[in-house]
Amino acid sequence: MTRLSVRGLRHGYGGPEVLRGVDFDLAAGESCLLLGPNGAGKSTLLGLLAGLGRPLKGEIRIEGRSLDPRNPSLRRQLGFLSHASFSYSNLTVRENLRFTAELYGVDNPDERVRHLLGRVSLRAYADRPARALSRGMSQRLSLARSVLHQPRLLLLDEPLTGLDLEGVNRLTELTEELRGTGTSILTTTHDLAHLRKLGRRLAWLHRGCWEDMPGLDLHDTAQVEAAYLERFAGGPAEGGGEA
Amino acid sequence: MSYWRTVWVLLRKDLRIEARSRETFVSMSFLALLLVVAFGFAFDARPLDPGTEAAGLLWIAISFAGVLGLGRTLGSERDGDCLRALLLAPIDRSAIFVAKWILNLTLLLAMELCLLPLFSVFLRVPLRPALPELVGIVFLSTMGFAAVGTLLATISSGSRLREALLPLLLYPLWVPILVASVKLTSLALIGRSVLDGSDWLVLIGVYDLVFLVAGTLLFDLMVEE
Repeated sequence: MTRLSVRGLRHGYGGPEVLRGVDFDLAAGESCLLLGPNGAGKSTLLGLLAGLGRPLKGEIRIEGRSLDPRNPSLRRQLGFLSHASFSYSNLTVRENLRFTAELYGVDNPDERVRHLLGRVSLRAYADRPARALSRGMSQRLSLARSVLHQPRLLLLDEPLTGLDLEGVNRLTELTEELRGTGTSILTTTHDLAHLRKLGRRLAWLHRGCWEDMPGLDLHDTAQVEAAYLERFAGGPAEGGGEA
Repeated sequence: MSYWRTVWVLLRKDLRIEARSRETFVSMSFLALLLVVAFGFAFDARPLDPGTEAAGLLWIAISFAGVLGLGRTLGSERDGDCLRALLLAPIDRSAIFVAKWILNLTLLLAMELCLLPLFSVFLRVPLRPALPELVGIVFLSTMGFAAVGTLLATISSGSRLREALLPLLLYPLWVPILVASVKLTSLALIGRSVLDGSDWLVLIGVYDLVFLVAGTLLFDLMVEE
């Protein structure tokens, strides 16, 4: 079953287009890694998939329904971990998660929040203000926030930023668990060392287009790195401008 | 989740943040106090004419202090890019506007509640005889002030010049209601019925309605990236 279908997606910020016709499908339960140099348009793509803006052209369908940023029901299916923390510095870790749980209409929000605090090892920090968290702790909070409502499509924008090894393992456990329940996951990263933990399928954005790389072995970091360098030799993508 | 439950969840979060930081209320109230003290010294011991000077000075203090608070409408959302997080949530986005409007209304009314007795003391204007009418006028006008302020604070929030942009956009739109409020306050302070200025009352009512409806309908468009 196709969870996400993207056709002819084009987007830009007034200058040259960052995305120049992105086409791909993501099946239910599939986890895909998206690589690309700075400015390739990875964050722009994820933002559009999350409904944060309208593409200049093209169509995004989630479970066969066209994504309309103003339609709240489809947003319930999406989880998004962004570069920003999406947390209120004056609220505690628990209050931040409780607030999100209420907005998403999560059943038994207190229980779900308690469970997730344990899963991301933040239980000891639950009643501290979010501003007191370190970068890595803050990233764990963002992770918990993005999976709180058990989304059907999870978008992770460089999720390893600031995470220590335990954090990486927690992230892997959570995403694997979600994938097992049919959640599709699209992850952007620059961290080639953890590729095999984050996904099964590899693609990259090159000159604003999606390119699948089925022949590469994710366990073989050197092979991926060599292919990456070969593809992107000559510097960042043309017309870049990652938002 | 029902629309009003969503509004309550958003409002409760904002009230909790404000209760902890007191950033908006304190800055607004402090400026209002400063203005009243300055006016008090400027007019020295001379009693103000309630029909002209007092009404004008009261609304000048409310306008200046209010803009300071309205400028912080989306302040808590800017930190951590939380507005984008709200836009991701499966809620009717106009609920964000309504919650912010109620928050601004609450904070402005709280500031005005502190301002009125100070104004009476420092400027030696007896407010007590006109208090019921005055409270009504202040409440009605503040509803519109909060609505237009919330709307324009949202529009200007995407700009790096938002601190300068908000007053530039807000004051011209605030003028009709400011004039109406001054006229009605004058009537109340000289002991006449505010119904003698029913046209001004209608103007404020229509203004409140227009900007509340506009904010609710347009918020989604204004925050779309």
